[in-house]
Amino acid sequence: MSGAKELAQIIRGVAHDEKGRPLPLTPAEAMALAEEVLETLFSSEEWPRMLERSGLRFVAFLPEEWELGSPALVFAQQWDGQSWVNLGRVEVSL
Amino acid sequence: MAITVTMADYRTAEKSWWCPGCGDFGVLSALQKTLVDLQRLPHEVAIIAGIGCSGKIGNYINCYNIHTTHGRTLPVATGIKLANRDLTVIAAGGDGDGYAIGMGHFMHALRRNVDMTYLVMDNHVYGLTKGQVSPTSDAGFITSSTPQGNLEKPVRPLELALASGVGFVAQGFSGWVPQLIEILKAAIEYRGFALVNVISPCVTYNKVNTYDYYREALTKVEDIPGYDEKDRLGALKTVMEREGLVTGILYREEGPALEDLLPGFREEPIVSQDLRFRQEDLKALLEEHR
Ligand SMILES: Cc1ncc(C[n+]2csc(CCOP(=O)(O)OP(=O)(O)O)c2C)c(N)n1
Ligand code: SF4
Ligand SMILES: [Mg+2]
Repeated sequence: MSGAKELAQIIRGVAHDEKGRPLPLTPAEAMALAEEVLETLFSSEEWPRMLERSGLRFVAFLPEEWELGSPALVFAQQWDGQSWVNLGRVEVSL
Repeated sequence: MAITVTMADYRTAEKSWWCPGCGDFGVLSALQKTLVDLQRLPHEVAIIAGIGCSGKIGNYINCYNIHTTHGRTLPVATGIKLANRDLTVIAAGGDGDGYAIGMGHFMHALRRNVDMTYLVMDNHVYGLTKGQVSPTSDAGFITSSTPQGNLEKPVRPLELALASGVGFVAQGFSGWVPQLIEILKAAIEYRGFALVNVISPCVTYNKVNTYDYYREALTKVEDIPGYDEKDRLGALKTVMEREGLVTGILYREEGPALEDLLPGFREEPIVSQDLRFRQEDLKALLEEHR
C-alpha cells in the first residue's frame, strides 16, 4: 500500500497520548503506526472509514465508485478544541 | 418504452464540498437510491434546500432544486406543492435551519399537513458557520459560542412533531443507509407532511455525537418488542424514555393531506391551468359589485 511513508511524516511530531502529552515517535514507530492505520482503514467495511489513534484522527475519502485498487485520499486530523483540523493528506493506492 | 431511472440520472457533475466522512453523504446516497427505487423521474422531483452544509444536498442531486434563504424551506416548499401538486416535494436542511430560525414554519407545517417530505440533517451543531451551538446541541456541549458548555436544554423535534398531530414521524441515521432508504420511501409515498429527522454526524465540529456514539446509543424501533407505529402515545413514550435515541418509522397514520380538504382545489395543478383572466369574467365581476 503506497502512502504510508508520507503519512508517517505527517504523524511524526504531532502524535500525543490521551492526556494530550506529546508522544515522541521514532521514524520506525511512525511508519508502523501509519501502516497500521491504513491497513485498518481499508480492511473495514464500516462507513465512513475513520479511526482515532495516538490523539489523531484518520479519515479515508474514497471516490464515488471506489473499489480495491483505485486511489483514495487519507486525511490526518487533530482536534484543536473546537474542530478537527487537517494536518495533511496523502494519496493512497491499495 | 418505459424509461428506467438509474443512480446516474440523479448524480450531478458538481464536486462535493462536504468534509470527508460527513454524515450528509449517507443522506445523499440514501435519497438518490430512494428516488431510483421509486422510479421517480428527475423532473418530477423538487428539492427545496435551506442554508447550511446540509442545504448543499440540492446541488448534488439532479432534479429541480431551490436553495432558499436560511430557515425558509417549508414556506417555499408549501408554495411549490400547492402550485404543482404533481411534484414530489422534499424540503431539506439542517437542525439550525429547521429548529432555530425556521422553527415557526416547522410548527405550522406540522399542523398544516401539506403533502411533502421534510428531511432534516441533524448534526447538533451549526456546521457551515464553523461550529456554533445549535438548538439540538446537548446540554454542556462546548463550542466556539458556548465555551463554558451549552446551558440550554435541547429542542426535541420528534416529541414536538408527535404532539403536533402530524401523521408521519421518523428518524434515521446516516450510518444506517438501508434503514434510511426504507424510511425515505415511506415518507415520500405518505400522503401528507412527513418529518424525517436524520442523525447525520458532523465529523469536523462535533466530537461528542459521533458515528461510534450513535452506533452504541441508537435502537431501531423494529428491535423494540411490541412497538406499534400506529400508537401515538406509545411513540411519544418511547421517544421520551429513550431521549430521542431511536430510529425507524415512529408514527404513521393515514389520512387526507391539506390539498385533499381545500375547497375548490382542483385536481389539475395550477401550473397547467389557463390563468388568463377573460374580459367577460371581468365585466361580470364589475357588474356584481356595481
Ligand atoms: C438569515 C440568516 N441568518 C444567519 C445566517 C448564517 N448561517 C448560515 S448557515 C447557519 C446555520 C447552519 O446550521 P444548520 O442549519 O444546522 O446546518 P449545517 O451546516 O449544520 O448542516 C447560519 C446561522 C444566514 N445565512 N442567514
Ligand atoms: S462542517 Fe460538518 S456538517 Fe459541514 S460538511 Fe463538514 S462534517 Fe459535514
Ligand atoms: Mg446542523
